Amino acid sequence: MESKHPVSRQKRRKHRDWQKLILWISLTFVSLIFLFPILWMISSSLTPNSEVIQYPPRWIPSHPTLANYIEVFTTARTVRVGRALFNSAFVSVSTVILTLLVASLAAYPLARMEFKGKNALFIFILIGFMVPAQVTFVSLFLIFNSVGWLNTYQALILPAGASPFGVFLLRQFFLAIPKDLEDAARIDGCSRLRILFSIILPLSKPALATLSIFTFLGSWNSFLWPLIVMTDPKSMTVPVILAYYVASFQSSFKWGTLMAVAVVSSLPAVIIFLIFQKQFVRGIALTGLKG
Amino acid sequence: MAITGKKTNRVKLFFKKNASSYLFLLPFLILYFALTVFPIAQTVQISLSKWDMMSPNKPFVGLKNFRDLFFNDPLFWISVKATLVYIFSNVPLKIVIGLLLALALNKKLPGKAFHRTAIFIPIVINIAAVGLLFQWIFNPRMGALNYYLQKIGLGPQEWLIKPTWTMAVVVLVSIWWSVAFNAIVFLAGLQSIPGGLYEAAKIDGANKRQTFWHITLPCLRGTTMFVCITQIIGSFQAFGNIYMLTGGGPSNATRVLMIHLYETGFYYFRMGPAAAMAIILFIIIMLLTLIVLTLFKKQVEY
Repeated sequence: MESKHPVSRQKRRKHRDWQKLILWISLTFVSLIFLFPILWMISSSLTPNSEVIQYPPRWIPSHPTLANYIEVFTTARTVRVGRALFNSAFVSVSTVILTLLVASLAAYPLARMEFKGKNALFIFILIGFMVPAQVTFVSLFLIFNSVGWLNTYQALILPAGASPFGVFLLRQFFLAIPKDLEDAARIDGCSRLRILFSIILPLSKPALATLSIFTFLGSWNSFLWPLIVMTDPKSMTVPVILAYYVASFQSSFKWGTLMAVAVVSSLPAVIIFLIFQKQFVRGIALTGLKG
Repeated sequence: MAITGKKTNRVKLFFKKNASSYLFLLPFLILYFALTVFPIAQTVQISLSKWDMMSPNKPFVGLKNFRDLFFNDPLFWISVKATLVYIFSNVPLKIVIGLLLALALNKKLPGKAFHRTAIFIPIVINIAAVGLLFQWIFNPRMGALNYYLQKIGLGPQEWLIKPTWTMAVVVLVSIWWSVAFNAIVFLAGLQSIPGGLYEAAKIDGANKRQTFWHITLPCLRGTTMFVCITQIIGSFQAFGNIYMLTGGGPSNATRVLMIHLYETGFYYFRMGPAAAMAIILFIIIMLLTLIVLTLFKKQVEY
């Protein structure tokens, strides 16, 4: 049969090649559309403020300069970006550590130990999965206000520390670890806590990595809650300080400088994404959770 | 005496058997109760009280805050309308574009890594930077977009000034920022379709279009429902992208529920109505989530 229609087969293959080419061109075009705003942000940040507002827009600045970046960290108006970067980094890293610790401690008995009320408790934790954080903000604000914790790091770290998603993710992973290793350790008289830290956790690196990436990006990019709690520019995180600039200096925007701030604020998250892209994508695919 | 002795023994036994498990769970449970469970209960209480930041008395007023929202706050209905407009334009577009991107990314084309990275990267950029960036691009006087539109005779447009354009810009930016999320979920859905189905269709002589409509789409039904509802939930919660681009303006055209809640609670400090709005949002989102979960269960069963 194949030898009967050699011409039509060849034709069909050619047709398919054409289709592929068109698809490739459109996909590349779409990819560039997604990239253009980012490239424009970078390009503007490297353009002197006097040149950046001139028509026609220049994709490659005629006098490329790092002046905007230097201004970000030295001028009185924007000098707080350095502080904001530190605040964001401190809050995000602390949130990751707290979440990993609290979630692995909680996930272990749910996966491995028998106790009264286990199933009810697990369902109770899962319900927390469904609660949109925004619902708690009014009350959390009043609580933190009454204990004088507005503008403190713990106001951002603690609410993120109890992550039902983290407990769920780690529990599922722990369940899949073979029990034999643990049994041997228990016979040798190892405590539960030591088993968790020296056997289970080292075997759970992929799950811990996924949880860390999600928690870090979630914390770094978190916007509404920090906007509510951090009212003092000294304690603002990076996204909040950007909003603060927009609100304060709307009339006198220096777009080159602002784009430099935007680049600086996005860089840590983008770097983490580029390094851990595979884990990140797999994490979203697995859980349907947005980072 | 003997009975109480027995009882304490039983309590002791219970503790002995279960204490270590609960010790492991303790840090989580403390944080969870203090910062999730209790705040929800308190939000319900605030929504039923006249809650004044200054006065120490918070008298119970029943459903007055809800009644005030429904009957005395025109901005509430404006924000409901804006939220619905946002959802009905945002969700369908994001699903269709997400699916198309996933279909294209699923093909083995050269430069796959580049395509994926370019399309996925916006989701990790913080929303404040995204808002600032697009305020710059859509700037009516100095923005790059208006320059090119002028060149082809379509501009300049007053993007973030005219109410007609504002919602369109907000939706467009939102698509750019987060459509990759749908693309990733659809991509996973596509890759889980058994290859045998396609081979069978090929043997039966089905063409590409038939394969798509009769195999690919039906197999993606669960994924699509999931994406649809998570997307609706996410759109109800939309805040940052709108706050940064328009602040809810112009003339309240993009004043969605979360913006109204934020201003009511944290700008005017009217905690009662803000809590009432949070509760309304909570109920809507809980219902939608329950639908997602039942769908998910079904998907797992098959």
